[in-house]
Amino acid sequence: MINKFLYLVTEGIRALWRTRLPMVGSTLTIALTLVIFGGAYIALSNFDRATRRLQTQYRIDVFFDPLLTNQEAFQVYQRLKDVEGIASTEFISKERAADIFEREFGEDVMEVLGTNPLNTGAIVLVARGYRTVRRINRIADEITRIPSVDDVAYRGELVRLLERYLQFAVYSGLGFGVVTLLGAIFLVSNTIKLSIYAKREAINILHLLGATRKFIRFPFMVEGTLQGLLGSALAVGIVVGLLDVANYILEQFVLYRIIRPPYLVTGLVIMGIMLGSIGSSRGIRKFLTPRALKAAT
Amino acid sequence: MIQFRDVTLIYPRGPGVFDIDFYVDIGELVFLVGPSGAGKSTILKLIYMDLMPQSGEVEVNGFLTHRTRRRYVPYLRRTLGLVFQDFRLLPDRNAFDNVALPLHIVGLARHEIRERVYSALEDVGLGERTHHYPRELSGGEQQRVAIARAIAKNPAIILADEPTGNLDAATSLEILDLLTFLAEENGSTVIVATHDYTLTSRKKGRLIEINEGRLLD
Ligand SMILES: Nc1ncnc2c1ncn2[C@@H]1O[C@H](COP(=O)(O)OP(=O)(O)OP(=O)(O)O)[C@@H](O)[C@H]1O
Ligand SMILES: [Mg+2]
Repeated sequence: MINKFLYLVTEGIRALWRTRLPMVGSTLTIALTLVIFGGAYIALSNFDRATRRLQTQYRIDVFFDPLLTNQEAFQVYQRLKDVEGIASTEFISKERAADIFEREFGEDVMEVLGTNPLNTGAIVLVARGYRTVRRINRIADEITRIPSVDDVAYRGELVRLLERYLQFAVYSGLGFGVVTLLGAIFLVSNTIKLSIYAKREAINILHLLGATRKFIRFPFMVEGTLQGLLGSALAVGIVVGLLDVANYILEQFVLYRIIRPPYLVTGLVIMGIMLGSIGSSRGIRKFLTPRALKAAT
Repeated sequence: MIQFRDVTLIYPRGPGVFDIDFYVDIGELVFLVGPSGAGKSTILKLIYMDLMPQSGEVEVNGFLTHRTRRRYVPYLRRTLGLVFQDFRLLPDRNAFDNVALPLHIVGLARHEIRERVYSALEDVGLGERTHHYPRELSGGEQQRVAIARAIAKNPAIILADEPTGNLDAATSLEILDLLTFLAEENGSTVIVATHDYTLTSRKKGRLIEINEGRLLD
């Protein structure tokens, strides 16, 4: 039994070698498909992680009139709660502002200036359903209209825009990926078809010698699956290599590393094998039939 | 054991075979003779169930045509050794691999395959040619490889369709001798289809004559 299995696997490899030229095309297409999907996966999971870290994009810093005392400021702060689309608020008293200042700049304002000129204010987090550029703008405008609110600051806009561009890039990339995916399946089934036609005499002989359909199909399945495996090996090499290069370059400039999301390699290999085996079973279903073989002669 | 019971098969376009009724016992040597187009190949195809009868039935080694589904036909064929006029060897495999093929299909172990292939090639006198490809062998030698392939699995029945059709007279006799000798040694039933009556006179086997799709008695 094990010998039969090894024999059929060897047959598949031989067949693959015989159709090596079209095989290169299908393997490269599989690799391209996997690189696109792998790239999209890396981009999305990195962006997800980055935005989760940069909570500030949904944060609006509100500064009150500097002449307000803490108590007066708190009155103004209460009015923030009436604004729609706010998840939480935090009151910043003059003392809290001094603390933040010290944490960020390492200086105690009281010591430097002898007085505390910092504004009172608030930190507002935008609720989940309101995290779009338009809505955050509207919320910021509404807050600005509250009397004694001096200024608002938020960085949501840039990040949000970036996210939009990235999403557009990723989704159009994936759209292209679907096209290459279908192309990959087609090309694999095409190599299988060529392989079947090249071997139609042998298939005939196998039937006469008492080979079952399974025995005859198996090498073609191996052939297609190997193309998937080769394609995924290539894709893993490219994706992991590019990731390393990108990180090496990033390291020189910023403190950000692109992470390799979990199951990237496993996912690519599984997807490659699936593309290969779907392609070969399509080829077998369409071309390893008595009618198709007869039509080819 | 082969039994035809009133078998008729008519091709969609053209003739076929009609009311065929005969029995071949275990170990028998049978010549199926008749002119070209008489229906000899058709009868052999009915035996290895490449064709199924439209009426009547064929029984081969316990397999009945009307009860044998397509997917079980391979298991019938494993009990048969087939030899053809055009040899039907795989051109890209050497003699060894060609003879090994039906043994891989059956799923024998590697060492067993080696043993059987070498002894079969030895039996047909090609012990020195195991690694030659079909194109490197003469027609007679190719047919010997085909015979080795047929006998390597110890088939109950050997079916040969014009096995000497592509060979000269001397080689034809050699091949026929070889086929019948090995089959006898093996206890296999042998059916040789041929239009060459001179060949049939060389061996004492039963004659089944056919003409225009009907048996003559
Ligand atoms: N697939 C087919 N479709 C239609 N007619 C066929 C088919 N195969 C064979 N025939 C016809 O059936 C008849 C018997 O054919 P068969 O091949 O059995 O003859 P044969 O005795 O083997 O002849 P030969 O000695 O030339 O090989 C012939 O008239 C042939 O033309
Ligand atoms: Mg014939």
